[in-house]
Formats: sequence, C-alpha cells, structure tokens
Amino acid sequence: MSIGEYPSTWLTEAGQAGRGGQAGHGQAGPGVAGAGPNGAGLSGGAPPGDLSGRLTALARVIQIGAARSGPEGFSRPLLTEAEQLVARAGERLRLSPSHTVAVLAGGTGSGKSSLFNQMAGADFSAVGVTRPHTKDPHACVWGMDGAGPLMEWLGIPHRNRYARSSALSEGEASLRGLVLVDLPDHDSVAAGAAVETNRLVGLADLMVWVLDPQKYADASVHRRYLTPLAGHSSVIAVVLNQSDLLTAEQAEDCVSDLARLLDTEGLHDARILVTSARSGAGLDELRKVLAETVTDRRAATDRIAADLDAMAERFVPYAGPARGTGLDTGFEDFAEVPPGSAVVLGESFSKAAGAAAVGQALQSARELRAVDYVGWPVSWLVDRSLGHDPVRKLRLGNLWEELRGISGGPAGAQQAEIDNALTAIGEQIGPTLPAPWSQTVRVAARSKRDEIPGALGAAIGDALPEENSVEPWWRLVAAWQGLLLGCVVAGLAWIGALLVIGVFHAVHHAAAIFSDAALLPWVGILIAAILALGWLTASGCMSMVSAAALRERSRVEAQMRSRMQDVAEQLVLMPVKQELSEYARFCSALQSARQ
Amino acid sequence: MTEGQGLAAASARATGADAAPAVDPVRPGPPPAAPPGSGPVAGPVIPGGGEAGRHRRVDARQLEAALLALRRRIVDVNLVYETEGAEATRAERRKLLSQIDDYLLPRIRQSEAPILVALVGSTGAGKSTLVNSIVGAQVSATGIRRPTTNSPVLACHPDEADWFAENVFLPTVPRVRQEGLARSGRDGLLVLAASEGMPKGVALLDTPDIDSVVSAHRDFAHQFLDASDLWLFMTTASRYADAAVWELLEYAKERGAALGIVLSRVPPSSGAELTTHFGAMLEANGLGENDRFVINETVIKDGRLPAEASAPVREWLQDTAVRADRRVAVLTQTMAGALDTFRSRVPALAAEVEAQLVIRSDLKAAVEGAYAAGLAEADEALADGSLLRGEILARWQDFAGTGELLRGLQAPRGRQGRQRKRGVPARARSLKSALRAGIESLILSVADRAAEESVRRWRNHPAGVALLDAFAAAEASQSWTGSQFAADAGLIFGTSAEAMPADVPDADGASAPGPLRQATLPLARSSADLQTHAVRAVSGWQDHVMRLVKAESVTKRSIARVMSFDDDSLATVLIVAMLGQRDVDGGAAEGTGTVPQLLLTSLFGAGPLREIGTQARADLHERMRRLFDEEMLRFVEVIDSPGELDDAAAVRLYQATYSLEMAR
Repeated sequence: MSIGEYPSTWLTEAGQAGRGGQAGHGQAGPGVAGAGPNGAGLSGGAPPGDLSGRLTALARVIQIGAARSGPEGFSRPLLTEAEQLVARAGERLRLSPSHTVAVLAGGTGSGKSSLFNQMAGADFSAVGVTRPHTKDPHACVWGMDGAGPLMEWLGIPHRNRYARSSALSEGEASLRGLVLVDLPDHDSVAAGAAVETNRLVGLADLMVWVLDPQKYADASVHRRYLTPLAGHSSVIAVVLNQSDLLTAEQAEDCVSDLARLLDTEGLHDARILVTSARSGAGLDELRKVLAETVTDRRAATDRIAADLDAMAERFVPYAGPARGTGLDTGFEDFAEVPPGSAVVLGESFSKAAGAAAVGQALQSARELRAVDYVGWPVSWLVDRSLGHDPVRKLRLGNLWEELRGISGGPAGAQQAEIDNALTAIGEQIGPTLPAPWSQTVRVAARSKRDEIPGALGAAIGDALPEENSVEPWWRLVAAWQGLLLGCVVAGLAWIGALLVIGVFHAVHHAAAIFSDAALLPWVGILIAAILALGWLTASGCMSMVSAAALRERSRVEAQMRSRMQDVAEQLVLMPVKQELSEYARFCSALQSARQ
Repeated sequence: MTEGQGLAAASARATGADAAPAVDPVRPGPPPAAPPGSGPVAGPVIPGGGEAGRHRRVDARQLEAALLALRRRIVDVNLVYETEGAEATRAERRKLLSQIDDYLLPRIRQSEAPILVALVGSTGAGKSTLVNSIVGAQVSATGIRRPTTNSPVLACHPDEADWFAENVFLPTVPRVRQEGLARSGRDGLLVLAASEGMPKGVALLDTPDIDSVVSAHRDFAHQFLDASDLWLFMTTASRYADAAVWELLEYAKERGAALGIVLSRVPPSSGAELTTHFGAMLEANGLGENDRFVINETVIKDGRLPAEASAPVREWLQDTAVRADRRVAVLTQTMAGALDTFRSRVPALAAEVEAQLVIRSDLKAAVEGAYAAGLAEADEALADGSLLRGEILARWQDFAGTGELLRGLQAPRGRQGRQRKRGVPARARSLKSALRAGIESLILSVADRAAEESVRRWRNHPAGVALLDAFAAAEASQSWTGSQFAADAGLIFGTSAEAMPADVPDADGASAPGPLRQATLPLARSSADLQTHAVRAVSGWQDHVMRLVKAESVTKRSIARVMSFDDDSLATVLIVAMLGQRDVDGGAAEGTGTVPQLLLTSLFGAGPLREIGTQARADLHERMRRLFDEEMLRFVEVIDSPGELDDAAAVRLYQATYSLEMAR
C-alpha cells in the first residue's frame, strides 16, 4: 500500500465511462440494476426513482409552506431545516454515488482515531492520551476516482485527505468506494469541534458511533445524536471499542445494556459491534460491515430516505391529524367550500349593500315619477294651497329638487357587514383544517376585502335601470288627465257663465246653454264626476304603476342577488378554493414525500 | 480552637442549636499554614483564607433568622407567566430553596455535624470504587453497566449516623439504612451506610453521575452538591476534557465551594503527560488552587482499589476531619461561597419577579392597544361617511327622496295618531333600524378585529402563547358540556393556535391539538353576548339622541311655531347627518350629507346643531367604550388566571437579601 498514491487503474475520470463502468459493474455484482453502458459505473448506486420523486415532493411541501410561514403558520426553522435537507440530498445524489461516506463519531477518548488508523492501515490520524486530541476531521478513500468533489463537499482539509491504493491482496477490494472519516469528538470543551461534527454527521451516508465501556451511556451522545436519529437504524452502526479493558463476561453485560439503551431510543436495528483497536479484536467484523455497505451502495440513499422520513413526519401536523397518517384517506373528499356558501354570502352581501332598500327606493322613485304623469293634479293643487309643504314654509330653496334627485342610485356597501360575513365564512371552513390552514383560509377569504364594496356597488348599478324612464301609457294617461282637467276648467267656466248669465242675467240673448240656471246642479254634478273620474283614474293608474314597480323591483332585486353571488364567488370563494387546493396539494405532496 | 467551631458553630455550640442563644461569637481562626502534603499532586491549599481573615462577628441566630426571612420571600415568589427564562428561573428558585433547606439552615443549626463530602463526577470514573476503598467495605455497588449508581450512598462512622438519619439533613430526600452488603437501591432513595472504616468527623456521599443518559441523576447530584460542605470531584483520563466535566467545575467555582479533584484511571505510561495537561487546564480555568489527586488505572479487586491508590484521598479526608483549622476553613469557604452567590442570585430572581409585572402590563397593554385602535376606527367610520352606504344609504334615499322625510317631520298636530299616508312610519322605521344594524355591525366587526389582533399580539409574546394554550386546554376540557351551547352561539370556530407541535411526530400527539387549537378561538372573536349588548347600546343611543332633539326643539320655539316635528324622524335625520358630517366638512359632498345638514341647520341653527352632534357622538363613543371594556375583561381574566402577582414581591426580596448581608 502506499499513501496518497493513486494507482493507474483507479485514475479513471468520471467522464471516462467505459472503464469506470466495467469496474463499477464488477464491484457491484450482478444484483445492481441500472448499470447501463453510459457512465453506469459511477451511477451504480443511482437513487431509486422514487427517492428523487420524494425529494421533489418535499421541495413542493417546502414551497407551499414557505408562503405560509410565521408564528401562526409553518415554523421557519423547520422549513429552513427541510430546505437544507433537500439541498444536501441533491448534492449528495449528484456527487459520486459510487462512494459511500462512513464517519467514525464518538466521544473524546473513545478511540475513533485508533480505529480509523487500524482500518486505514496507517497512522493517518494522530492518536494521543491528552484530551481532546483530534481537532479536525481526517478522511481516507478507498478508490479515488470521482471522490475529489465529494471530499470538497465534505469539507475535509487537504492535508487530512488520504487515499488507499490497490491492496486488493489484503482483501480490501471490497472496501473500494469507501470514504472513511475520522471526526473530532462532540463532547469535549474544545469549542467548534461539535459544530464540525454535527455538520459531518449530517452529511454521512453511514454513521459509525464509537463508544467505549466508560462512556457508552453518556447523555452527550444519546440525547444529542442517537435519540434524534431514531429511524436511521439502517445507516447506523454502534461500535463498543476498548473491549480489551473488559472480560468477556463484562463485555457481554455491557453490550446487552447498550442494546437495551438503543432499543429504548428507537434504534432497534442498529448493528452493535465489539472491537478493540488495541488488540485488533472485532476489526474484521467492522471491515465486513463497511464492505457490505459499500457493496450495497445503498447507504447514501438509505440515509437520505431516513432523513426524509423524519422530516416528512415533522410536517404531518400541518396536514392535520387524519390526513397526515398516510392511511387511505383520499385527498378529494375534505375541506371543500360548503355548498350553499355562495348563496349565504350573497345574502349577506345583499344586506351589506342594501339590495332590498335599493329595490324599495327604486319602487318609490318609479311611483314618484309616475305621479307626475298619472297623478291627479287637483290633489296636488289642494295640498299645496292648504300649506302642507314644509319645504316651502322653511324656504329651503332647492332642497326639494335635491331630495327628488337622490333616489335609487348605487349605494355601495357597508364595510363592517362585509367583514362580518367574511369572518363567518372563514370560520365555517377554518375549523375543519389544521392550524396554519385555518388561518390562511381566513386570510384568503379576506384577501380581496377592499374590492368587495366597489364590486357590490357596481353589481347594484348594473342591475338598476338606466334612467327613471317614462312609460308611454303614462303620457296617454297624462293627456287624459289633462283633458279631464280641461273639462273641469271648462265646466267651471260654464258654471261661471251660468251664474253670470243665467242667474244674474248680466248678458242677454245668450244661448240657453249658458243661461239656463236650472243647468247649474247638472254642471256641478258633471264637474264633480269629472273630478271623481280624474281621482279614480289617478288612483287606478297608480295602483297599476305600483304593481309594475313592484314587479320591476323584484326583478331588479333578483338580478342584484345573483350578481352579489357572482361577486361572492369571484372575490371570496375563488381565493378560498385556491387556498384549499393548495392545502390538497400540500397533503398529496406530503403523502408522496412520506412514501 | 476545638472541633465544632465552624463559621456558625461560633454561636451555636451548645446542644440544641435552635435553643441556644447566640452568646459567644468568635472570629474564625487565621489561615493555618499548609500542612505537609497529603495529596500526591498538590498540597491542600487552604481555601477561603481571605474569608476567614475578615474580621467580623457572626451571629448565627441572626443569620438563621435572616435566612428564614429570605426563604419565606423566595417561597412567595410566583412566576406565573412564561418567558424565555421562566423555566430556568423556577429551577433557580427551587435550587435556592433547596440550598437553604438542605445545606445552610442545617449547617447553621448543627455546626458540629460531620463534614459532608460529596463525591461527584463522570459516570464510570470509579466513584463507588473509591468510596468502597476508603471505607474498606463494599458499601456502594460497582459494575460495568453505566450508570452504575442509581441511588446515592452516604458512608459515615456508625457513631455519627444519627446526624444524617434525622430529617434535618436533606429533609426532602427519603432514606434507608443499609443492612448487609451493597445492593442496588431504588432511585431517589438515599442509602445510609454506617461503617467502622470511615474516619470520624467526615461523611462521604457517593452520588449518581452527572453525565449519563439518566438525566434525573444530574439533578439529584446537584442537589447533593448543594447540600455538601466539601466537594470531591472525580473524572478520568479519557474524560477530563468533556464539556460536562467543565460545566460542573465551573459551577463549583461559581459556588465557591471547597473542592478536591481526583483524576482516575490514568494509564501509568502516560501519567505525567496527562497530569500536566489536566493541571494546565485547571489553571487556565482558575481552579489550580484546589487539591488534586491522581489514581492510576489498576486492577480492581472486590470492587476496591489497592490500598496505596486510595490512601492519599483517605488521608486527606481524615486530615480535614481531625484538624480544626482545616475543618473551619472548609466550612467557612463553602458556606461563605454559598451565601456569596445569594448576592447576585436573589437579585436576579427579584429582577425576574419584576419582569413578571412588566409582562402582565405588556399583555394588558397589548389588549388595550388593540381595543383602543378599534374604538378609534369605529369613531372614524362613524364620522367619515363610510357608514352611509348600502342599506343605510338606500333607506335614506327612499325615506328622503320620496318626500316621506318632509312629511315625517310634520308630526301629527292636533289629532293624535293621524297618518297622512300609509308607509310613512314604515320608511322612517326602516331607516332607523338600518342605522341601528349598521352601527351594530360596525361595533361587531371592530370588536372581532380587536379580539383577533389581541390574540395575534399575544402570540408574539411567549407569555401570551402560554396563556392562550392554557386557555385552550381549559376550554377543551369544558367543551364536553359547553360545545352544544357554544356551537349554537356560533362560538366554536377554529383559529390557528400556536404553530403546532412540529416536534410531536406521533399520531397520538398530533390528534390531540385539534380541539385545543379550536378552543382558543372564542377569545379571538368578540364574545357571544356582544351582539345583544350592542343592540341595546345602539338603540339606547338612538333614544338618547331623540331626547336631545326633543329638548332642543322645545327650546327653539320659533321653529315649533312654523311647523311641528316628529322627534323620532328628526333624530334619525340627525344621525344620518352625523354619519356624513366629515363629507360635508371636507367638501366632498355626495348629496347625502348636505340634505340633512341643510335641513337641520335651518331647523336648529348651526351652533346648537353642532352641540347636539357633539353630545350625541360623545355619548355613542362612551357606550362603545363600555362595550369594549367588557370585551377586554375576558382577556384580563385570562391574564389573571395563572395567579395573582404581588407588586411588592421584588422589593421584599431585595430587602431580605440586604438583611442577610447585614446578618453575616
């Protein structure tokens, strides 16, 4: 073996696919699928399709969550962590999938460096008695090709990189593709060491935790690392080093206690090895475990998959208790806008905009206008002459005109009532959703709050007739009333004539029709009849006008209501539905990420 | 100086420390010369020399009384609100109490009690082995499993066992006497092992580890440390750089306790290098003055070290017990160290207590601010014409435009109940009720928003979050009975409770917060009663305006002569005019504001009209304020729910600390 010397057979560059492919193929054995002709060697352990699918799904989860983060929404730190995971996983999958990164992690004095040197077969990492000893990571590669970028990514200092060459004779061929990293301890007072360790533990494909009989139950390793890594058992191996200090019996006792501890922490399947870097016991097993992992080429994807599992699990509360469990709940059946919402909202909006009142005002305006035509002018004259018009009394000038002008226009809407309606709809849908969503749905319902009054005003304006038009038959009636009025005037004149001529004989030789006083009562009756006729016409026509105005009012009101419903649909329910479909997308993305 | 003259022994040497009055205060002896090195590494340095050298008189009775007073003040401390450091502060409070109860008071009352040496350190350092070796018998279980010692073992001479059996020493810890061989006791029990092998005048306490997975052990160990006179800290060659080790050493330094340090399991080959390195680390951390011992990695027989390995430690202990000057120095240093920490720790606690008051007022201010903003918003909406829209505007138009307004102003004079036309009162009534509904909606929506805003502000405050969660939990527990009613009242709606347990991964945990979350909601909305109250308030206000109008129009005879009024209609017109006032003032008249204004000005005259308007507005403001005050009460109740705060608690703590300093 030689240090830092790359044998020519291993110097295949990533681009030189042919040889790398053969070599990779040879190593991976027949079981590895997907070893195609093109760069297959380097992608021998290519991620299964579903892993990248899951990562994409997680990215979508993050993207949806990021738009809704905050104290009441998605937790920022969680999103950041998930983003880091996606980025890290992407990097790792891109970088030399044919290599497996195994880290030796453990407390100070557990013998990581000794083990590392034993595995590497040379004293790469200095071993010492004073604590803490190793202060930055060391790495050894079996098979350099393509490992350079990986080393960069891992952040191993150049002086601490070593390569193991051929040494096939020593049975190390099976280790080809292994990157073994000796970490600084995580529990010493040396500042910074723990940060470096945390980073590399996060990047590793396989974690080998080196414990020793003195420290195997330390809180620093169990609480900080092993417990949070529950679910990662497939990519964790635990090594009880320094077994030379124990008798066989003691070692057994120790291992069973350690196994019990790991079990309570959820690491049921983690492999436990007993080694001694000093005596060399158990090293072959460790080498075998490493070799298996390297040959399988699954550690990288297993690690990512385990990380994904844990991460996706943490998003489950955001999908809601029932939906996150991954049971067969379909994603179509939940969180819909209740069917009658548009109608209910439309009602509330009608109220806010005063649709009924506008209709009423329209009817009044119609009737008022009609009075000008079909009304009986005599009644009006009587009113006026009797002094029932306060405006006149107060000499308010054009008030009357103003009052007449304001009837029946678009009236806008009450913001407060709109707000209350929006609150109500938000609270109708919200409670069925988990925390951030019930809030975002509410926000969505309110998102176009400011546009609603204008839209409602426009809806009313559209529904209202252009102008207070005059029906043709009103003019006919007006003419008729005019005629009747003329008749009254004529009748009055006749009476006058009769009085002057017939009673006081002021003029002689008048026609009998003007002079026959006996006609007086008849003419009087005639005038009374005409007056009655005018009044009857007026009230008859007014009731027709009223009936027509009422019909128009209900037509306009119905129109307004349907427009209000459109407004509700457009400005309230659409955003809500969009938000709900985002929620559905979130759930299905999470579902895919959890596969 | 005789044995028993400790710091406090001075005044309480008579039997029955409690009864003896402080009559004979003496000053602690001068720092004794360093005795011939009993430790292999460094001779014992007499700690606390400076303390002992101070000339002052200590009255144990006074000191005890001052401590009891301080203790009472600390007991009174009630940290009801969550802050970032509240949990730590509560722990600190417990710790202060246990230090007073477990160490200071017993030590002051019983100054002749043996010196209690706590053996603390890393798991696997061989603490139990060392105890067994010193005692010369198997009193504490040893083994390969970590952590080995689950319950602490106290080894002492049989003659002195009574000191520790009574409820004076560590009154809160239950204990059993050990009979026969060491066996693993139950967690949390103190095992009392009396053995002839122990030197008199000193007791050795084997504590659980400080750094294993069993985190309860750490708390336990700390409690024993705080109750001990002398600490013997033990770590190993492979652990001496552990962070946990230095945390504890740092604590010992802060605490000012007398300390001995043992480095065990040292490989003989590299002993010198390790000792030097460790020594340098101790020096660098300001701990170089403490006695140090080194025990090499050896073969353990019967759970004991070879006699020569443990002898230095044993001699050191014996020396401390027998030599009065050492004894006094140790007791003085540890007690003075503990009392010294009170100088900063109790004021820190008091500062937290003050912070609690600030939190309470912050939380209240958050709610008050939200509601004040809501009230201002409502006032604004009532003046800027924004209410003159929709229903109200349409009703007004219908009422005014059809001339019903003018006819309505003419109250039936003479013949009571005469109506000129049907529908006149109907339109006026519609307008009036539209006005009422509009103002009600305004109040409701403003109150809703203020409640939501209050909850939102609380969410940004850790104490607020805790209060809301507690509220949600309480609501949820009541919801079995209350849900039907609440649902009827339209109360139970979901809100976003705290961004939920991102770290509760299991399905059981995830299903629980559902109802919890939604139960917060009632608080984030206006109360169910508000609608009823608002109706009452607004119609009361309308009546009030009518009375104002009546009073005014009665005085204005000139108008009354010309025409008569229907006060109700006039009041309604006045309200409409009021709502649109800003429009008119701002010149942005849309025609809605001017008509009533014109009419009213001519009826009342500009001056009186303004006066009526101001009065009416002030009255409405007052009514809304009362409604909102009632709404705020719900929040105040939540604020007060965790318990009362004593405004003077912090001051009393400061006073008690001062009295303690005076008594020393």
